[in-house]
Order: sequence, then C-alpha cells, then structure tokens
Amino acid sequence: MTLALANVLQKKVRSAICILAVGIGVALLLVVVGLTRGSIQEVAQRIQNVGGDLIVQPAGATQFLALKSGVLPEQYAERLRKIPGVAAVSPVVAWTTTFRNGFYVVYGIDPERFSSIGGGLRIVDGRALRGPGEVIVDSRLAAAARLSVGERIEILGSRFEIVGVSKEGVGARIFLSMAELQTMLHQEKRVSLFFVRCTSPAAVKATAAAIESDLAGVRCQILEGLADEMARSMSGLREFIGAITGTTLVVSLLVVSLAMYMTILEKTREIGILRSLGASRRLIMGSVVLESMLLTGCGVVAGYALTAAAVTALRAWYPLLTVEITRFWILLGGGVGIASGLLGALYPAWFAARQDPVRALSYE
Amino acid sequence: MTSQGASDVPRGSDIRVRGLVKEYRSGRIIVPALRGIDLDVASGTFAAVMGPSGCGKSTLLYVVGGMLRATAGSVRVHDLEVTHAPERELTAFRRGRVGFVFQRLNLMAALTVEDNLKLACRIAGRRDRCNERIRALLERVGLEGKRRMRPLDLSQGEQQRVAIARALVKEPSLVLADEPTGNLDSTNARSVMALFRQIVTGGGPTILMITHDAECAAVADTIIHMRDGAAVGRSGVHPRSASAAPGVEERRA
Repeated sequence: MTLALANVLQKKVRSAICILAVGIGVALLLVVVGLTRGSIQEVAQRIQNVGGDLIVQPAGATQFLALKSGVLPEQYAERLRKIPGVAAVSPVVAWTTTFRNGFYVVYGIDPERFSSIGGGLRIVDGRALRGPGEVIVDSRLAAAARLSVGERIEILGSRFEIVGVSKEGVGARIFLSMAELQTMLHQEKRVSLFFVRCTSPAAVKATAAAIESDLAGVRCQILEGLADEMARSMSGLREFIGAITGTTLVVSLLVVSLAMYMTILEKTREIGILRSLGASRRLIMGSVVLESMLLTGCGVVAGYALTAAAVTALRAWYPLLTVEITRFWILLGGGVGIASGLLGALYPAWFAARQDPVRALSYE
Repeated sequence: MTSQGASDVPRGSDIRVRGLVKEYRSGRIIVPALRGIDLDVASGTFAAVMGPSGCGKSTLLYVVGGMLRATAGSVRVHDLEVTHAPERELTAFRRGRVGFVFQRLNLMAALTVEDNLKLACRIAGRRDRCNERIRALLERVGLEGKRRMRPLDLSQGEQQRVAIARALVKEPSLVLADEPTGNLDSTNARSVMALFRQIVTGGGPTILMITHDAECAAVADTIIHMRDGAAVGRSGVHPRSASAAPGVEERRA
C-alpha cells in the first residue's frame, strides 16, 4: 500500500491526468444518463401530476403526448363519462412550439374540466384562463424566461397575454384555451387525448379495459408507472445508455491501462529490485493493481465532484432541464470507473510480473 | 581450476558451485557466459570476484542469487540447490536469505529511506522488531538523521549505504553485491568497503562481491579471479580476517 500510494503521489501529473480521465468518464456517464432519465421522468411526472388515472389516446399513439394533435373526436368525452368507473374526463389538445429558442409542449385545456381531474392548475400569480388571447405559463418557464403576468408573448404565430403563472409540474409548461388551440391548429372539435379520473384506484384496470372495449381504436394508458413505460417505449434509449456506459468503460480502461503501462516501463528497474528482494509475481501484480485502484478510486470521487459541478451548472444555465441521478446510477458509475481501473491494470500488472528480474535490473 | 568432488567440500561452506555453465541464446547464436566454474565460499566470509568486463562475474552472482537459471552444473547455497529449485522456492530464497546490493539506482525513488527498509522487511515477512532493526542499521551506516529523506536527496555514497542497510535489514545469511562501488568516488568506495568488512567481522552474513577495483577487492577475505567465464585463480586470504575465514577454499588449475 505504501509503495502504491507513494507512486501515485510521486507521479503527480500522471496521476492527475489519469484521475481526471476516469473522473470525466464517470461524470459523462452520470450526466448523460441523468439528463436522459431526468427528462423522461420529468415529462412523465408532469403528466401524472394532472391527477388522472388514465389517458385515452388513439391506438398506437406515443406516450410523448405532444407528438400528435387533434385526432380524437371531442364528443368522446361524453361517451367516456358514461362508462362505469369513470368519475371525470378532461379533453386536452397537446401541441409543441418553439419559444425563445426553447421547445415546449402546449396544452389546450378547458379549465373547468381540467380541474375536475386532479385539482387543475395551481395559480401562483395572476388568474386562471377565461377566454381567447390568454395564456398561462408554469413557474419554471416563467423563472427561466423571466416572464411575468401581463407580458405579451408570441406563440404559434399569435400574440397572447400572460394572465397567470401556475405552479410547475402539472401537464405542460404553456396552457391556453382548448377551443382557441383547436382553431389555431385547424382541428375544431378534435383533441389529442383525454385525461380520465376513475371512481377508485381499484377500478382503474377494469375501467381501462371497458374504455378500450367501448371505443374502438383507442388505447388506455394507466398513468401509474408511466415513466418506466415511456423509457421502455423509447426506441434505442437503452442502447444509447448502454453505448455511453460502454464508451466510458472503454475510454477509462484505455487511459488507466496506458498510464499503468507507461508507469511500469518507467519502473522496470524497480520491478527488478522488488524481484531481487524476493517479491513474488503475485505481489508485484497486486502492487500494480492496487496503484491502479487508488487512481481510479480517486477518479470516481473526482467524477462525482465533476457530476455535481456539471449538474449545478446545467441547472443554472438551463433551468428547464431536469437531471435525475439515482443512487443506482451513482453506484453504477463508480462501479464502471473501478472496473476500468481493474481491467486496465491487468495487462500492465501481468507484464510487470513477467519481467525477467536481471533484464529489469539492467533496464535503462 | 579443477572440479572438486562433493566429498571434498569443506565443512561450513555457504556457497558451493560445481561445473556451473551458463549460456545465453540469441536465436541460433549461443554465447557462453560461464564455462564450468567450481568454487566454494565459506560461511561468514567476505569473497570478492574480480575479472575484466564480460567475463561472467555478474552472471555468476545472479545465478548464485537465484535470479538467473544455469544451463548446467550445480549451485548450492546453504541447503538449497539453487539450479534446480522451482521459481517459488527461489523467490522465497531471495526473500528470506539473500540480500542484494547493486551498482546504482537501486532504491525505490518514491519511498523514503525508512520506507525502503520497511518494504524489504515486509516482503521478507520480517515485521518483528522491524523499526528497531531499521534504527540500528541506519545508525550503523551513519544515516540515522536521513531516514525521512528520499533517495534522490542523498549522495550516491549515502544511497549505497541505504542499499546495504536494506540488504541487511531482513538479516540474510548471504549478501550478494554487484559492483557496489562502481559509481562511487574513492572516499565513498572505501567507506562502503569498510562497512562490508565491519559486517563480516561482526559475525554478519557471508558476502560475495563483484568488483573491478583491486583496492576494494583487497578488503575481502579471498579474491576469486575470473576470465572468459571461468574461475582462473584466487588471491590470498585477507590478513585482517584470516582467522575468521577458515573455510574459504579455492581450486587451482
């Protein structure tokens, strides 16, 4: 341990580069996964926070609600309301818009019916929607874009007055009257989806089945567990995260391996001395692996620190981004870092242990 | 120099070499380094091996120390047949019974003087009274005030004295020194030789030293001369230690 630690401390620049490389790998993994999962989680959470138990969409529709607009007849609301187990129904037109270089989901809602699902929007400044030409933004967008009540903004080619700011985390970030959005999209009497509140949690599954049976061509999505369902349905997400994890592992492994290999070439003579002292091959391998573990251990800690710094910076610069790094991913990131150190040290350690002691002693 | 039969081996012989051959191979080319050496070094004596460069002195030392495999012949150190011992036994032999001193750069640069000695103790599994032995040895080599320093902060002479202390810290029965004064000025060389002399006189381990320097070799109890991979003779017993080296033997051609 003393020798491994002394080597780490003696070669400060090499150690720093190695630690930084592993740290960047770990941070890259955690931030990218955190951003990906955070965005999905945040979208799912906002949908769930509307308060319903089900969403009714056209069959085959994506869980990312804004990707299709008015495709269901609005009068389905009445039919849904009559199905046993349904307590409340709110039709919503979902659409997307760019606003100040950001990409946002817009909900066209009927405030009264939207409130019947789970309490609706909690207005923290201004008032609720009353008519055309009005818009509500959520508090996170208001803070990020420095918007305030009374300000006029342009959305979907029309100008709107911000009449209220709602507490963040429910549905979309921008809300306007459903009728107005339908007109703007040329989708009169058509909606994207229906939020449905059931009479009891126990009735959710049966109600979903009843809806799908009663209304041909619709699909009921149970909102509980929506985030996992969304993550699963995102084609290539798992592969993307796997690729990032693999890249981190390979890059860190190569850096550690190169650093340890160079160290061993540099210390060839010392390896000869260790052999002359009676150090076994196992001991020399252990010493190399231990040194590598010290470097990657520090690299993992550096990676955690870099991740914390990156997340803080992202939140400051892009307040609408959500980064969610769970304990599982923190442990996995650390594990990937340590594994890279272990695997990266194996060949150099083997190489060191196989050195001919006499040749090693005469190494220049 | 003739071979000596096993029955003729003197009692108390620490190193016994018989018909030792070592050849280096490079493709089809065979380079003989040792051509059938016989020699004995008695327990508790100081033997020097002299000869021109390339005559096989260092090869002899490394074969005796279990660092190189012989091509033929026998090397027995104490009760271990070094030439036929498996790798694990040779490692254990170096770990517990042999201390090496090399010509240069033979300390761990990242470790302090004290940690270099502790490392040798740890590898040898001699943790008992380790600190006590280190203190005593550093005092003996005149470096007690420099135990926290790193090798590169010491002079070459001081580094070599640390290396000697490291070789001795595990209390080996044999010290093998490969040109220990090769990089030292005459003052430091004399100091190192005086230290070796003192170690042997004080009942320390047997020392087998390779040297070019006749003045250094003269400090030894006996000098074995080598030429072209063969032992060609021996100079007389050192007068100061004649009584302490009763078992030193030689065979002349």
